[in-house]
Amino acid sequence: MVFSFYGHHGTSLESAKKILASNYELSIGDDEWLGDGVYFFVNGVSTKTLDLAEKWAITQSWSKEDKILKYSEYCVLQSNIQVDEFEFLDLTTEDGVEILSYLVDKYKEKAEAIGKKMRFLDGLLLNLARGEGFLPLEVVKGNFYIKFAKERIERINLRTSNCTICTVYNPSKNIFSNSIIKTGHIK
Amino acid sequence: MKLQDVKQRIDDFFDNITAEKLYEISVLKYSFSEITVDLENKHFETGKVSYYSSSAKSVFNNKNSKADSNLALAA
Repeated sequence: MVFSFYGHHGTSLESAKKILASNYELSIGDDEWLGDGVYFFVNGVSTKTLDLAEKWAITQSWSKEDKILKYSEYCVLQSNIQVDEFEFLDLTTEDGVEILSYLVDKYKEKAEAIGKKMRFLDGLLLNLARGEGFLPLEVVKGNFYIKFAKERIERINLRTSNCTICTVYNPSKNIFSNSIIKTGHIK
Repeated sequence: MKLQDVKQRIDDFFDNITAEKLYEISVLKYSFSEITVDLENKHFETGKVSYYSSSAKSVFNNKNSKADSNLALAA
């Protein structure tokens, strides 16, 4: 069975043009929520994925370090994602969470045999599972609490998820169409 | 994806890798970090300090007898 759904990705207009010309680049880094991939807002705890992507694009335009706007023209891309059921880990379901929990337990058991206690992050575990090839991961979905500009400025730190995101590890394999559906200017 | 579909693959990976090798690739290749502080004790210590901080003045600076202070701590 193949799942097909749409996701929204907010970014600068300049980056969006590059994406349309040569596809997405992966977001790399150990702070990434679901590992190294391309991120989309998808239907889940919120259906307003276009709005979420737009808010994300605006949030990301601000450079906290330099206190300047990195870009003033933003846009939202809509992409069609298709993935085989066997390569799709859905962490919004009991089945998905069960896999991640099992992975943590197996890892802990092994590491503690040599007295090691590791700091676990979802993204690192998923990168390990993909990188070592023992989980056939292509797309992963999960619910998260993301701090957009308002939450950052007003320091609203909740635990309750406000969006569902998915990451695609291999854009050329699982993304079938891209189009710009909204542009905007940040004043 | 369900656990029953991938459990054997996960088991095989962890059965066939040494703990040392897993630790090595986790840190060097996947940027895992190790918890080196005894968090349980640290947390307990921090919790103990913060728990008593608001009442510390009344417990330690008041004019009560030693017996009264002991009762406050026991409570």
